[in-house]
Amino acid sequence: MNSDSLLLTVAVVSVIIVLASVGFTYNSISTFRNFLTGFATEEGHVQVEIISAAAINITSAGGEIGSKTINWGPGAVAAGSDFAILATNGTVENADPTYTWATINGGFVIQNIGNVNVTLSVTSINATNFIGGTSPLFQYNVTNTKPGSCTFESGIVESTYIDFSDIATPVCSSFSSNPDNDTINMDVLLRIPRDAPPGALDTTVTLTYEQA
Amino acid sequence: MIIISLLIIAIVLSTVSIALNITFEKLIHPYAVLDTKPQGNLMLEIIENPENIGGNLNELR
Repeated sequence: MNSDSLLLTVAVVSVIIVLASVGFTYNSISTFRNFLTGFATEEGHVQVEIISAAAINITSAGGEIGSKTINWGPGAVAAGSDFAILATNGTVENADPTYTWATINGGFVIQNIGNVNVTLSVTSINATNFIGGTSPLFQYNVTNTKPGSCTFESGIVESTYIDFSDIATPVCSSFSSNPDNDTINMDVLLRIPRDAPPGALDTTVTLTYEQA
Repeated sequence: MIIISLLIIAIVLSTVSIALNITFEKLIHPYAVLDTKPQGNLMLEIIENPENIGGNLNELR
């Protein structure tokens, strides 16, 4: 009899806990009810609210789908040259034949994967702080992979290199979410002076965006 | 009999609760895999070329 009472008590407690669980779930859904407005009326009509979702993604880097890293590896400026040029369009100029950097074919491919147009800004480190030496360059350009994807900000010209900056640089006043016009390519160029300090370099390019 | 009924109720309610949670997660996190601030990385290594050092020294001379 005692064991029956114990079992009954456990069962009652478990039901109470489950009821509390259902209550919490219901409360959580109610909190977000303003996002979830699709319902069917008696007449059979359906109302659906599509949530604005601003989102972009780097889908490829260095010609490698799914990657977000471009790595030229080790290399040296050729003897007698003032600088070497590396770019993600396959350019490797004035590199030492013995210690040559990798050839990179493809920059950062950036796609608007949301459902609203967004602005796009680019931030990184400047050339002096990244590479050093005499007259280094650390630049990028943006090209519409799908025509009309990026409406360029004033002063930004498609496929024309500009310097990276540690201050966010607005690039696209509108980056389209239309699947036919939602992809751009960012090529990167480095000019490495022969007097640049040797060592491993590693930096980050940050994309910021907000609904246009 | 009462105990069995209570346990069956508990199982049913638990199933409903789990189903609601799964549905809820799917509805509010359709873009859960996305970056909020996408970043790309750039890496390379600069090796000192001895011949360039020589060139610099020659210029100094």
